[in-house]
Amino acid sequence: MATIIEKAQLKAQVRRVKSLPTLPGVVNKVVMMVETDDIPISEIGEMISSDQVLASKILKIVNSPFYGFPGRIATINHALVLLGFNVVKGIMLSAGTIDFQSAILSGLWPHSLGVATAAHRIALTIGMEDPEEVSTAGLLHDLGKVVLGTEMRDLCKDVMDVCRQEQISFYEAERKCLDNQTHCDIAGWLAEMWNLPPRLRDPIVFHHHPTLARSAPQATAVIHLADILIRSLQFGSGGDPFIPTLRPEAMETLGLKMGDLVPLLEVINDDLEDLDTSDFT
Amino acid sequence: MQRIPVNMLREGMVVARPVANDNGIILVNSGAELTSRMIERLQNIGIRKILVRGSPVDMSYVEGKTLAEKISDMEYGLKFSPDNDTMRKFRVLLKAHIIKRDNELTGKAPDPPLDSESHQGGLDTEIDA
Repeated sequence: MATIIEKAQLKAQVRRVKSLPTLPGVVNKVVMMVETDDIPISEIGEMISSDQVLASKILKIVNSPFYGFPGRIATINHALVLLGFNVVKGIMLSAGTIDFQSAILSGLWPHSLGVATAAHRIALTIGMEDPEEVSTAGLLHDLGKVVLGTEMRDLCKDVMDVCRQEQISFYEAERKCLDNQTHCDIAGWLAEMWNLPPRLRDPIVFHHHPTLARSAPQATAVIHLADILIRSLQFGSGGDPFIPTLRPEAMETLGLKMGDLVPLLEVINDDLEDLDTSDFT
Repeated sequence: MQRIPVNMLREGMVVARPVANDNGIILVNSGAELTSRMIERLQNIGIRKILVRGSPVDMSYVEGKTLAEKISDMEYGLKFSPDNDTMRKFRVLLKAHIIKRDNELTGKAPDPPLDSESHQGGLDTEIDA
């Protein structure tokens, strides 16, 4: 099957996602804000809390084990103080607005939760600062696929057909159908439009090619490894059954040896069992 | 040794590895025999599964893939992997992990020796110094 859409058209479609009627008004307001603006955290918190549906979705996620404060965050303000603006914004833009579970690529939600979990564990293991930002990068890493699967369903179905028929990876099928663009490019455009900081944007765009990440190579290496481990553990689905190739450069960036993956797989497997399985219904 | 969901625990089962809470505090030591009060406590705290000695639960009726299927899925998943040093090592350690966890599910995993510190099972082959 040849290209079914050209890059410029694809990008135009993605731009329209930014102003979907389904996106709560609050989201657009928060996206406009940058942390350096002199808006007090409490005001941001109040604004997000004014949309109760959105706020409760965010609160559910910030209380996940992969944020390190399970069951202890009761308000958006508390989340903002404990986890920071970038994390709350990242959650709001992903799980808070776009319905992961309605994507025709089923299995993306557990997969994303899994990668968030694994990313958190890897970040803790190597002693990274702000492991919660890495968890968020994990949650968001396949945002491009979610958007494809929710807002561009016909395109997504075509990609899935090619993937199945030719038994190639979802990534390769995307490149074939979408004029060499992939979910990484799609998410990259969104990340730009939404002003996501480098520590969130780089892993989203470069988790398949971690050596290309310039601004946040460590966070990107974490997500690259986390994605591989979660696929290896067959938790959820990233759209195909294949395990991506592990780049030794990523292991070097993280200061990990292959032998370190043995205990890491064990503890991540245990962490996955602590995830609330009701999140998958 | 078998990994059992907390709602399938029964009095008399013997803990194979210490159970700790989120803060790392040990709730039940290895070698302890479970009472119904202990089981209730574990459920209340939100522990999902623990490792017990022997293989008291018949997991064969539980839906899920067989070990052979899991290995086959792994092999298929690695179909496009290059045959380089990194991926050869990865394949070995992933396979060992899958086998180990499946053995713990079915109860085929060996019990740790009594009266000694529980240890994580390692691989027979050296992966890395």
